[in-house]
Amino acid sequence: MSITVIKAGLQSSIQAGPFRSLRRLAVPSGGAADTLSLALANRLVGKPYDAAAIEITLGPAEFRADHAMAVAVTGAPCQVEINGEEAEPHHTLQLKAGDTISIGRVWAGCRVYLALSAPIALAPVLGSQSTLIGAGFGGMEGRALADGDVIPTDHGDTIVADLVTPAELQPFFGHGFVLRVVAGPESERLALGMAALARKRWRVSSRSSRMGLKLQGTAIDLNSAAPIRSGAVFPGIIQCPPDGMPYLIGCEGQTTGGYPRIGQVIRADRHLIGQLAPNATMLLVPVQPEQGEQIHAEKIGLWAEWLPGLALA
Amino acid sequence: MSQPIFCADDWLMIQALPPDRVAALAMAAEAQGWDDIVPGLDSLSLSWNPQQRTLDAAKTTALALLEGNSEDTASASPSAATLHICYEQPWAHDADIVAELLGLTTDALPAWHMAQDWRVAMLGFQPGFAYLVCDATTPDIPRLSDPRAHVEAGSVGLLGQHCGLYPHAGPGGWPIIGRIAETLFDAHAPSPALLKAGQPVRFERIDSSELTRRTGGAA
Repeated sequence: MSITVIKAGLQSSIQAGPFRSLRRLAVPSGGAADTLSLALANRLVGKPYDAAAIEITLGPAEFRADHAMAVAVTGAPCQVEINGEEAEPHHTLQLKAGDTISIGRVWAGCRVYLALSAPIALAPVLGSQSTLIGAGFGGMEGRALADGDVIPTDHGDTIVADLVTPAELQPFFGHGFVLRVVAGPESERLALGMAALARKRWRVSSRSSRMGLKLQGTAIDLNSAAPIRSGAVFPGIIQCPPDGMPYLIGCEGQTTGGYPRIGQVIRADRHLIGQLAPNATMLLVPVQPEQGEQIHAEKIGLWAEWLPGLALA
Repeated sequence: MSQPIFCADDWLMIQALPPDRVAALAMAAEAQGWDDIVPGLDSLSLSWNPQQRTLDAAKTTALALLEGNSEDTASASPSAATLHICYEQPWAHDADIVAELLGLTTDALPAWHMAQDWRVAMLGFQPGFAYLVCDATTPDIPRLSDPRAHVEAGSVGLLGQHCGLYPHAGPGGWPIIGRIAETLFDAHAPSPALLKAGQPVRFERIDSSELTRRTGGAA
């Protein structure tokens, strides 16, 4: 029982829900970079929202089902083919033993999720089947998938009803993103206040990974360059290194840092960080923490009926 | 006494804390149902799931923590850890420069290092990486201008006023003065990190053959 990696592409890895409550040991949260797209893929193959699936970065990538199973593809828009025939994302797809599924280069966004009805049979580490690629544990031998890898699966329920994500619940990913941010602990150092982050367009540089994304735009002026005493950072924190170009902490970013923290992407929008590819542009819109809390409740509410138990981090 | 508190939408940070208070509060916070409790050098950050706790409730809980209403046992600090360190070459790459910055001879550096009252201030940077602090005031030790492409697991560095312990092999910018025999982080162990914030650390000197014996030949 398995699925074989024919072509892993730029970076594919096993990702599920995050590692929880381990940041004090300096273990990053990790898990799927786009938790909402992971949940939507799992829904179509009858699995819990945070079950392990394959996260594919930018594409192309190709896999072979070694036994019959249902699969589903969500996330960044791309061409999907089964044995060379076009197939639909956001649909349950039935594969026979030996069928191949290929994921084309994404048209927008960054990450594609391929969920399988068969449970991925890799032992959880520290409570998660996710891969921490930087730390080198979890998932498939603590590393990204490689061509020829055979991912073991259990005999799952291969008879999964054919489902389609309701159109109004399919996230749209283009080349421009809007992320809402609250002030960070050192935002008072911003010479122009939070306006320095807002009302200008940031571009994601090629120095980007699951760990963090370097942004490009007009350099930010701080009224104090004094280093801070190292303290917690979380996914979605925007740091301001000495060059004035913001660094956005990703899901697998480190747990503490010494650069001024000038903003924090709200929890409700952090899943979008996983869809930021090099050259994507974004607007950062300041909100108050209470608004962030409200937006989170509303967003969870939108998907709650379709994705029972959904958590966005 | 009111402590400044920073608040985001799903985490907050109690600021301007002395290091020993960070560790005591971190321990007391364990009973309060936070998602993550993250000690910093002079701060303690606490995160929550908004589906389980409101922003207002989180702030109230943090204030209760500061007032000590939630516990009376913060004085129980974890027992001291003893780490076995080899100060010999080839592990003590930068002992010469560090000793010079501290106004010591290279031969005197190990005795100075062992004599300090080191405590774990926080873990950060990579899983299990420990930042130790001591009471001695020393000149700030600068980062290597040219970071090393490969530092061995167990390497012990000095940077700024801190002693840092590398759990994993990899690139590193801390000047290195020795290497310990202990495994600092093992994701497959029931208790993955050897050290925790607030824990006192003693260094005991071993020679390179003892290091090799204790690391099973990995050194």
